[in-house]
Amino acid sequence: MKYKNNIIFAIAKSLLNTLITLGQMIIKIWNHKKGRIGLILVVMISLIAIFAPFLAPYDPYDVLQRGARGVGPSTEYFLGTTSYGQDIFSMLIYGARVSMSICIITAILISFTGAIIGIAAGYLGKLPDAIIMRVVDVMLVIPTLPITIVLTNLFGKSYAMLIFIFTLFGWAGLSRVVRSQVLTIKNTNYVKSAELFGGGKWYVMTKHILPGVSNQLIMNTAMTAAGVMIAEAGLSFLGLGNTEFISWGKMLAEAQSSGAFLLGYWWWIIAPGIGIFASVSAFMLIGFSLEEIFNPRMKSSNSQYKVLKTLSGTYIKELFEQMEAADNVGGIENE
Amino acid sequence: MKIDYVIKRILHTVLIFLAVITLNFFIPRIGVDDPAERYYPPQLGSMTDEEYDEIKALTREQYGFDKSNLAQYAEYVKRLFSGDLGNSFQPGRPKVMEMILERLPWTLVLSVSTMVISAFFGITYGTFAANQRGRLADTALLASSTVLTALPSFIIALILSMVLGFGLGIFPCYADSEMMTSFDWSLAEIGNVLYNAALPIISMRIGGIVGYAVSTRNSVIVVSSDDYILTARAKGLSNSRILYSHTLTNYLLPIVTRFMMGLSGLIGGAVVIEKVFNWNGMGTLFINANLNSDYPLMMGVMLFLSSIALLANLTADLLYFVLDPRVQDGGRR
Amino acid sequence: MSDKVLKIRSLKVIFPTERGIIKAVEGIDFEVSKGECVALVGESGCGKSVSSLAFMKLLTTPPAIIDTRVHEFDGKDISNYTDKQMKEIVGTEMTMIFQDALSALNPVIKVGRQIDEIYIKKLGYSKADAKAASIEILRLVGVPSPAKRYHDYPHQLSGGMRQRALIGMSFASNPKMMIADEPTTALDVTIESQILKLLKDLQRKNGMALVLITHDLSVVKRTADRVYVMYSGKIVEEGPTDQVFNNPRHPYTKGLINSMPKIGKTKEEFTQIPDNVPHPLNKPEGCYFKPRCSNHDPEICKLHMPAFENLSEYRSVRCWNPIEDAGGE
Ligand SMILES: Nc1ncnc2c1ncn2[C@@H]1O[C@H](COP(=O)(O)OP(=O)(O)OP(=O)(O)O)[C@@H](O)[C@H]1O
Ligand SMILES: [Mg+2]
Repeated sequence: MKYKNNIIFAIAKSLLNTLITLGQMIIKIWNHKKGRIGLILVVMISLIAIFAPFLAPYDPYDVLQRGARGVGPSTEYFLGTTSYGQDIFSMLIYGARVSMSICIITAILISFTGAIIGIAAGYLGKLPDAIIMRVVDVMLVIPTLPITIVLTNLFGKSYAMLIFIFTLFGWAGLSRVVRSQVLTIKNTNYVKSAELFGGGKWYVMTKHILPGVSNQLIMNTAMTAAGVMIAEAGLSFLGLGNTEFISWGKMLAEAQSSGAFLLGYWWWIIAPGIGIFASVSAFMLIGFSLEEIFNPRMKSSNSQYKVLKTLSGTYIKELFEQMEAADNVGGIENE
Repeated sequence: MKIDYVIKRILHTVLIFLAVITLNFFIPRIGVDDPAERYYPPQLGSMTDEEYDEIKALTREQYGFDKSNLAQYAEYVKRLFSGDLGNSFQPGRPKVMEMILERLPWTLVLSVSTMVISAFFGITYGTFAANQRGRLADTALLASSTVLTALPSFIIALILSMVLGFGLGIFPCYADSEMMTSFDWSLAEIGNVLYNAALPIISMRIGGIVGYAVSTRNSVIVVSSDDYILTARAKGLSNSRILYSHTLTNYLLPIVTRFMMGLSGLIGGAVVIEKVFNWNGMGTLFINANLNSDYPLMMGVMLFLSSIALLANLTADLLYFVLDPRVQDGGRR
Repeated sequence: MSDKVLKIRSLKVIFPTERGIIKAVEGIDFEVSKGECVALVGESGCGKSVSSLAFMKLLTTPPAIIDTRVHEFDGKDISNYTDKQMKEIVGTEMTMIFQDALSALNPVIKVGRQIDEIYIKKLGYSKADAKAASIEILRLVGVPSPAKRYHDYPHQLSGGMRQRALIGMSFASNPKMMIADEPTTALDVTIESQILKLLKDLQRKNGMALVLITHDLSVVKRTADRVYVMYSGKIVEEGPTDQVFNNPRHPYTKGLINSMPKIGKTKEEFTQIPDNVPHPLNKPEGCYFKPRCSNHDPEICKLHMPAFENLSEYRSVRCWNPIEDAGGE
């Protein structure tokens, strides 16, 4: 009984810790110029997705109800309509639901699986490691988009199945990276001494190794989200994504197959294009900012060049003169 | 020691290849009672049930589906190694291998030329940007990389074909479908292919050039801060000598890997671009196979793409081995 | 004054960064005569490497910003030399070797070829002549079976051999001056003394000026004729080695000497200087050493940086309150 309480307590504590780390991370991203733009974009697009029914002026599925087909942007139809008469602005808003939720959920799932498998391989070593790494090698060789297409052909392309397939073929690259980090951490003194003092494998993993790779994980989640967004859009564009709901990729596919640019309906292509672009770049900006936060070497040397440009020649000259003057306080001139 | 490494890499590749084959063998058998189910061509309207059953029986015999699982697998592997990937469902039941080989050049035209172009321009520009650090050429690169990597190539393709193709009429929006049948190596035909390939290549590689340029720039900067570059400068060598014999030899290593990896990724990635421009390459072949649930063809293309990726990886490893003496002695950076 | 190989006055180097301007070197005077071995000592981060790179004009601008009053090499004023003019003397007349020979040698080029480069590109040898000369120089610096080692890659040599090869490379052109930036820090003690001996031999035989940069006073004591003690971007004491060791006048020098490990030293005698070097962005007011100095004056040391005063013909110190002359000079 007591033991059980301990476990609950430990889980609660680690949850709390995770939340705190996450909060600190968000503050760090917020304080970073690129990161802030990304964060604002992600929050904005997510809000749009959540409140889509309240924001969309028309029913995006509403086809053939109105006479307005292929109308350009106007005050009535903010981003114009499709050649079927759907309101593109409403479609764009609803499209955010599918696109955003798939990529956020998948990214989180991939990070979890990748982390767990990578840590297991790196920490357990020996046979488990060898087996896992061979599986990873195989996974990385199989071309992602074609295998996804084959699997959707086999299992259907429901929303959940897409997430499952993306996860199934997304974890391998990450776990390789995590594994090599774990190997580095494993050989550091603090982990060695933790083991020496009888810390169990589970203890060492959660206490020392997980925090060590968490930076990589969070960064990876952001980058994966961007990648999944592109993959999902590509798949839908090929007409192989989920067909129940509107997504941005599907909008593009419809636009292309109905010859939108032959008809000159440029808005039909630009609008979903901007949706995809905005969300992909939002996630990437967060990813880049995290990369710079965790690995400041390249960044700080880049920024030196910027600082240099802001310094005026006279300021530098004065600085050098001050140095010389400070040297001569004692009154004895050298030489 | 040296030869050990090569043998190890080759064995490793063979092992993974076997795993890929096995996966390919199993995937069409997932979730069906009759292992041959996905190998039966669709029943045409003109066929009676008896006729269709005959075709089924024929298919089972052809692929050895009546034997035990193990024997089926042995049969499958044997056929693979004799270059037989089975027959497509398409009218006339053409051989999958022949279909792939027929389309392969058209995909290679796109992917190889894009790769060479992006590597060439990317590496050149990246080196230039690294030397212009903090100035316009460099900041422009960094800024555009954020934009272009976030723009999937098929969106670039759509926009380009809208503006340059439809709007200005400079390039064709859709590839000339006659092109592939009438191709005869005459200069006019080659010109025609390039003209048709222009937009696909540009859209596939705008992002790629920038990607190469950024990674080149970063590795030049990292390499330039290495101690041996300082040594080279302390030897009073000329800047070009330092660049070509000291910086380049080192930063090319990671780029070689990137180049080889890029090849396998590109052929897979061409699927979407081929669709935008109706380009009759392997991507289109694959998409159409999927629409018909033509499993022999789909699995054949999959296997082919995986093998290319595998070979590319092996080549990258071996190139690394040749270029970096440290690998030859068993160490790796 | 014509026997001065290097003469530099008021060398200043700053690095602008996002968080402020790092004053790495704040006006140092430095000179080396023909055939002299001069040491530059100080704790990590005090600006030794930056200074030595500036001596050879090897710092890149940006990010560094450099200013000197006088910069003469071998009697020529090189303060306004262009990059191209510098390339004519760097690598031949003035050369440099670095701490970690493994990373200082190009990992993908054979050691012999890297030495050849000097002969071919700088001295105009033919390929065949260069190879013969490189093997000869490898032999001279004591690399065993040089003809075989010529074909090795850096990672195939031992640490000591690598450092020898690097020394050979910078000695190939018979330079007037060689700067050795912590040449032995990466090596173990026995190899260290061999390398130091090699450097001294080369220097004596060829009348070369040797600038030895180190944070290890025992190295200075064994090799240098004269020593500059550097602290936080400034020279704080200068003088002939034996005088500085027997009779340190700056409390920092004394602290360094006291912290040298020595056989037969009692525990009380062995003392570490308290605290650390100030962060270059956050240097104290007045004398930079004041916060760590047990003997500072609360008034003057806090207000002003002391000047670098001549104590005698050969000795100078930068301190308001120098340690008393122990005599014996
Ligand atoms: N490129 C640079 N950008 C910013 N600061 C720099 C740069 N190079 C050197 N510095 C700063 O200049 C100061 C002096 O560095 P330097 O390398 O000369 O120290 P050092 O005395 O050689 O130390 P060590 O014994 O560790 O080699 C340090 O505080 C360092 O942070
Ligand atoms: Mg140094």
